[in-house]
Amino acid sequence: MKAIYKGIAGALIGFVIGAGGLSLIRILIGLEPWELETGIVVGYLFALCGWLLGVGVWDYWGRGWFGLPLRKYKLTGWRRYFSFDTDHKVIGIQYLFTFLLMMLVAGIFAMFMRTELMDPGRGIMDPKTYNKLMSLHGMFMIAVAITIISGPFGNYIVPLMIGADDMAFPRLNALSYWLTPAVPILLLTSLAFQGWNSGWTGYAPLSVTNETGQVFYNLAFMTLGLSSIVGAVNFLTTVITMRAPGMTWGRLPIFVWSILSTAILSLLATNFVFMVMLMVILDRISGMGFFNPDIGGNPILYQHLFWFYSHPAVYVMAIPGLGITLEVITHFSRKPLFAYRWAVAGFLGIVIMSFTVWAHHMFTSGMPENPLPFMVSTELISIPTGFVFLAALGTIWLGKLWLKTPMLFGLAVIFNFLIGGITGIFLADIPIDLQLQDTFWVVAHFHYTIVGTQIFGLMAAIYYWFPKLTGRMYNERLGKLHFWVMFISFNTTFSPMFWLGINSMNRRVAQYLPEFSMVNTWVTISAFVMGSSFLIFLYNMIYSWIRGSKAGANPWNARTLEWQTSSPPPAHNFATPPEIIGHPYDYGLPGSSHAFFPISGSSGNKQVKD
Amino acid sequence: MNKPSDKKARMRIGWVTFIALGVLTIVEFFISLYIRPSTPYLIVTAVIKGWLIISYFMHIAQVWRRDKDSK
Amino acid sequence: MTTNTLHSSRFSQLYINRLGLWLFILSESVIFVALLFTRFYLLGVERAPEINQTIGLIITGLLLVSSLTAYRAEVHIAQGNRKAFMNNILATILLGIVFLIGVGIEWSEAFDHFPPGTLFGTVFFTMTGMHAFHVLTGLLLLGLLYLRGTQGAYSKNDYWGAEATIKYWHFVDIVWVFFYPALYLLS
Ligand SMILES: [Cu+2]
Repeated sequence: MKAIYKGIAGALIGFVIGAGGLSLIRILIGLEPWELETGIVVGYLFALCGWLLGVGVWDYWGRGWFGLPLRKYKLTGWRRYFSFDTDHKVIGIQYLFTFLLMMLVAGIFAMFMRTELMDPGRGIMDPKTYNKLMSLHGMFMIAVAITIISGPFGNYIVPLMIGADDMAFPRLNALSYWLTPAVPILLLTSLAFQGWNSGWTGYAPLSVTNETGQVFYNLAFMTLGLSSIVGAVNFLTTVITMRAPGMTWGRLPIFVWSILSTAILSLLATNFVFMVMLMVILDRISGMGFFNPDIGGNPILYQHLFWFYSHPAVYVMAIPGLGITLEVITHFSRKPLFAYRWAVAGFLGIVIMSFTVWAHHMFTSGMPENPLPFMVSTELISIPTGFVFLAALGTIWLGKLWLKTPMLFGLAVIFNFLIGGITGIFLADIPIDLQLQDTFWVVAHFHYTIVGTQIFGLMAAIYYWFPKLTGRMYNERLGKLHFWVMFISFNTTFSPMFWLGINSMNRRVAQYLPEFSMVNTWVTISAFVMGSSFLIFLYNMIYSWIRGSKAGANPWNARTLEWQTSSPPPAHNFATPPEIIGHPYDYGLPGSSHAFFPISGSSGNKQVKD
Repeated sequence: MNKPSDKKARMRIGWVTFIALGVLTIVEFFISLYIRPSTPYLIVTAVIKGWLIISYFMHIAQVWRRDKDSK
Repeated sequence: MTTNTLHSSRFSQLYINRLGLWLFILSESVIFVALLFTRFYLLGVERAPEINQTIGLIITGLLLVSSLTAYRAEVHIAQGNRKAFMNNILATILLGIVFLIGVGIEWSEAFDHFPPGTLFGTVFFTMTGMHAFHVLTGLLLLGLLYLRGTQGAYSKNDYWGAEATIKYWHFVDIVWVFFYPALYLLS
């Protein structure tokens, strides 16, 4: 906890230095000493640096820049999780807790929104509050969706899967985690400055003329972007350079491929959103006019830059979910991953093509550019996605399915993604998009793709790797109960929204025509059931973590490397360095083997059995 | 790679690159004065300059070969 | 600047560091791509005729020379010639500072002709500002490098910190290679 206190102190000192220094400069050049938004932006920049330095960058790293000896703290037990620990396993758990918490908070926001929508007129809040709540829910969930698989499981599992003892840059890894707490804090602080109502997309010109709360959204998005860039550099370097001997590209587990693809997207796209957020801030605080038509600026520029990041970001959210799905489905079908190469090609194809489709979000924006190429490229992107989909189906085909909870969630991802994908084709089609734009059809579509793949994939991952993370087994009955409640209520929540959308119920509006009230009541009740399914999940996790039965090293009898070491793994992951001699997914192939440990003590060669 | 003659060669690479960059900058300047439209030519010169810096000042080739020889 | 001896990798730590740095530079360059896109999207190839060509050419030359001194510093430290290394780093720092002063002069002139409230001003101040910010961080890194050098750090066999900083400095120069024609020469 000491690290966090120091971090908070550093942030406060940083803010005072930043805001105070700014005031001093303003006085010197003859301006008013204090201007709220400039003060917030500059103060925040320094506060963030102060926070990072205080929380551990200075002790573990910064002292070295000045030639001072580093200070390392040997912490044990739970204290490690509140410190600048560089072990990738600790960082994975930190990510998992932070973002699960954010997800639950954002889920509660959603419950309030649904309560308001029970009533076609004014329910529990006024329409402005509703829009601010909607924005808050959206941005929280975007942060969650971007991070919650690649952060926790990318960190925890990827180094294990490739046979490395840690990430390539452990301290950068800790840095990328400790940037993230700033995101929810900023978003919640915005409420003290009237919040913001422009949704997670924060379109200009509204975001330029909005209340001060908007600035917090911009800063939060920039901070999130910084964290994911640092993470992406680390993932790419790790996977390229730290693979165990024999771990060729063709033997890389499919989950690692999905994280690699995600990292490429984050690396190349994120700074577009960083820049566009900065442009909004500049428009607001320095009288610039990127998005101000009066002087020749152009609000459509915002959408171009924003979606050039945010469309690839959709795949940053979806690809890890699909990667986990393929991983889990293979292990629980007990047969080789079907068309491994095509699945990899599918991921890489999505990566390349996702940079060519951004303007499909702008068909109704009145942009002067020709929208047709974007319609075509969007529909073409279903080809690589189809590869991944078919790999999943081919793996299930004639497999001996072992219907444990992770497998159920994996199968649900296939189902949800099919619906999300098909309804997306309607939106990619310009004439239909003109009708469905900004209706509940869009809401239903992206919740099917993002919750349906990302969050269901997350659940598959949590249940699948829970024994690895904790050394204990979760309760299978409660897991299945959670699955069925969540799966059914998810579908009863979001599928009626397609109907609402076709009948043109607008999104982002608190009030609607009375004839939709029946369906909305149904949706709200389903949403509450879905929300409460997470209580089963939480109970199961907490109880099993404390009281669950011991799981052993490899309860699923899986072949990939993370299961060939104790649960949880020791400090440097493997007692002896592994060597890779075969494909990870050759289930049922006689005599095949993925890895062995050449020097495991006195016992000589230890073959890993199928 | 630490022989003195090697050092001379590397210094020469630095100077040649520098002079090439300088000449290209002057060329750019005159393009902007006398040629219309200048944009395509300026893009070409800028790309050449960027490539010179990346390959000769920053040694991007180090990324493609393992490092034993480049210390 | 990171050295970790913990790792078991078939690649040397130096190679890993280099790859990480290049990936970081790649992602950082996206910021400038976005700015160039903005410049062309909003203005086409239009440019304010009042822009000061003399200062533009001078600061471009300064940055170019500083790239040469940075390169020379790296060659010298690779040979173990610490004194020449330090001198070249110092020259690079001074040239960088003069560059920033040049930008400052340019800005004070630009305020009269095309303030941030005009379209060209918006683009001009953001692009030069973003670049100057990177020059500033580069100077801070070079300053640290110099400080560590006076403490006796870096030798023929261990100069990753110097190499990384110098690569970053070259990157800042590349950005200007594209920004200079985009802001001063297009028409
Ligand atoms: Cu999209």
